[in-house]
Amino acid sequence: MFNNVSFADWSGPLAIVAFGVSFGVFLFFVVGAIRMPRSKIHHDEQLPLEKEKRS
Amino acid sequence: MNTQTVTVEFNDKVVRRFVIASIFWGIVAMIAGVLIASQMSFHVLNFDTSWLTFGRLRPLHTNAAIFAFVGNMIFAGIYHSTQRLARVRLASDFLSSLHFWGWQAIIVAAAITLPLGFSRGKEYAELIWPINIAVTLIWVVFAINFFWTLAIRNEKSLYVAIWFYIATIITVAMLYIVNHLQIPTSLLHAYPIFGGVQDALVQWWYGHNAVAFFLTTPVLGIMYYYLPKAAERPVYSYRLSVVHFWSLVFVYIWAGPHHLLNTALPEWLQTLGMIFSLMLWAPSWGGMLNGLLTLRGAWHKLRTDPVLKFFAAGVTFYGMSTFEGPLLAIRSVNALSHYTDWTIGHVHSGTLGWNSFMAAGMFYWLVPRLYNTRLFSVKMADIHFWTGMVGILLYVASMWVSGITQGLMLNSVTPEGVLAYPNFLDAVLSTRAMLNTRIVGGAFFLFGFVLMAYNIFRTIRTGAPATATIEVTQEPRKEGMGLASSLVNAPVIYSFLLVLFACLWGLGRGTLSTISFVLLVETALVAMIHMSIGGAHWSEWYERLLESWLPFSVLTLIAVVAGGMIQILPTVFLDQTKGEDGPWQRVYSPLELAGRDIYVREGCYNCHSQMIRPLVGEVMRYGASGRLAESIYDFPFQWGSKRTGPDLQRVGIKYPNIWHFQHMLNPRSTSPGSTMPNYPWLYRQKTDLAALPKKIEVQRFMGVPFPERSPEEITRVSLEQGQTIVDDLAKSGVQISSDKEIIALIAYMQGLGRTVPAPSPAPDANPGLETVVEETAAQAASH
Repeated sequence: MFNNVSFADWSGPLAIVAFGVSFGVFLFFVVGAIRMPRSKIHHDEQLPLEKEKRS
Repeated sequence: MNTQTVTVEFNDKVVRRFVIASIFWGIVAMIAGVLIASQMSFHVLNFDTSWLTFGRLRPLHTNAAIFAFVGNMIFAGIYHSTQRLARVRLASDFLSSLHFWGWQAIIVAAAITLPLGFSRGKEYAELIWPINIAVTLIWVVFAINFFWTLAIRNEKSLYVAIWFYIATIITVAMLYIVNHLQIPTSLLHAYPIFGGVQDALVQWWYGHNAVAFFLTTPVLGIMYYYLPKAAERPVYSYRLSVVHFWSLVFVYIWAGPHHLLNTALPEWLQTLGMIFSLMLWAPSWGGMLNGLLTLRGAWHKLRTDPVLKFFAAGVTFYGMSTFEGPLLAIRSVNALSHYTDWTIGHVHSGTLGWNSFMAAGMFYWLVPRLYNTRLFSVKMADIHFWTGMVGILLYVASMWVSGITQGLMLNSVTPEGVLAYPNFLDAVLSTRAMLNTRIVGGAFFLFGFVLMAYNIFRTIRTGAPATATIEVTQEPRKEGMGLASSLVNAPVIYSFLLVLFACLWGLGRGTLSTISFVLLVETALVAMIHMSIGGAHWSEWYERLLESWLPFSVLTLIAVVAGGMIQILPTVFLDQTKGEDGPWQRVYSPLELAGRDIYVREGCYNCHSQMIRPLVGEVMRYGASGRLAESIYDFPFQWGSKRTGPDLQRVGIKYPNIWHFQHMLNPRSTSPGSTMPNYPWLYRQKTDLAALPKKIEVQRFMGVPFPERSPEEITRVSLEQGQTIVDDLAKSGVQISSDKEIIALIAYMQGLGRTVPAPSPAPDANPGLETVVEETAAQAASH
């Protein structure tokens, strides 16, 4: 019964472009994460472990 | 190269303030929670007092839990960890203080206005427009302070926790602004610019992502900082944390429509919401496993360290509730679970198990360090953990049982084809034991939390505010990546083209599909050749991007805007009623509009829905399922999300006026066993008829075809309609004047579900909205 709510034709391409844009960003970062050099990962993952002085 | 070593002193004063505020407001939120849970079982606890009724206190509870308790907690965590990860003091002490005091002022304003009934009638977005503006301004202060700190940082890398914070700041701003677009009718009242299905969609796009980007992503950032810190070992997989972040940013924003499954929302949006919700299983569990596996080799510490105990349990609850969420987003499961206590149980496994336990872990770790002392009592923290755990389990398990019972009973049909439980109250009464168990669970949790507050208080008393410093070697900054080069470059273009061609190949037809496939393969080949030739350049470019907060933030914004745009734009800008041949909503009379605003003020949507789903049990119980065109004049929509009472979409004329009159005065007189509050003040207070002309003017501006009337005419027709109800009540021996609020509310209730025939289409085209508006206006005027 809800099928009789019709939308303009441009909602189809819009969905594809929106998906493409956001998935493109996702894909790019995931590939980048996989290709990150070990030295960079080691540096980043140690960041929370730095000690500080308290007085 | 010119380098110099400097001592950086962190601004922990603001962190201490936010921690204390979070604990204080957490207790307030939980006391309100236990009270309203008790009201669900014992109606006398509403005390016949307007500002103590469930409908007004429930928004206070949710807003206090989300924005006051968790809000202050995430600000504390973000400010503390960002300074350490960026190796720099917060950019501005003034902005930090302004952020803290501004946020507390907002919370106080909310705590005053919500019980007084000043509400927008949208869940987690009830605050009125002046407070909305204050929230936006303070959020901007927070954003400036945060990004300014990143801009002057001494550590070039942006640790993954900071990515989660960036996504939080950007996305919450976007969601909040869009869902709070409104036109004021007075200093304390406004109508949202979206109505009906549009408002429903925007609201749950916001509501779902408030959970995602206020209760989840910042707490994940906190997890990625404090869990390694407490376990004294790095996160299990940094690569997985990167994938976790981008998967959530990509997927979360699309999943909002799962709150509107089986409603009049267009089906393609329901499917979209369901699919993306199911996709959330992967990143959520990836993140949970990454958190738990960080404890590898440190599991034995859980026996003695309350911090790790809370973190491990919190992350486990994150996994459990993010498993349950997509499960409930499956349309057939949702048909059973929606509008029942199951959803309440799900929400609380997240807020109590994930948010509160992560907050407790963070506080127990942080406070001794902020005050340079030791935790006052580890034993007390252990008791807090176990009472909290028992409380959550009692709460969640009872709500599961209650919710499934309600869902099954209300949809149950006998072999003879009639409702097995025609009285809605059968479902309420049969779950009373579970509702009482929920109170016990909530009380357990509150007890544990108060114990933590005492433990923290004693810890603070034994120490003194500490000054934390680090030595930093400052190097000349490398040139950052510009916006243009971050967006227009080979990796981004290849990624975008690959996805675009894959979509066109899969979704397109004929020649378009074939050409897209060829282009997809070609682009992949070219990208691979390019990568193999310039691999070093590619990696270097990626690393530079991760060190440049502005382009990084813009890419995050693009990802979330794209996901939101696809849901919002078609529904907002297209004629939502095109092709609707069913009945249309009738325009409210002025008195009905006044009654509707009373309905919104009292928070009736917290227990009553106005959306009949196309399920056998619902159609038999309430009437024909709701259609899209039946709520087009509802600003805001009132579809609801939970039924403690029956659906009201078609309640109009179902009962006589005297029934409503007696029901609102004492619901037990007409519905034995009901837990609904009494509303005696509606019989004393006068309807604000003077506000109607402005309200109608605003609604006309938004396209509602109210007939044009002078303020005097509006008052006259309102009193006339009220008088017809008063005359009818007089036949039953009731004497009341027509200007009382109960009369307006009865007028509204009696108008619910009354429709007009769909406007007949022109022979050669669908009617435009203007034509329809004119026809409907004529019908409304004649009514």
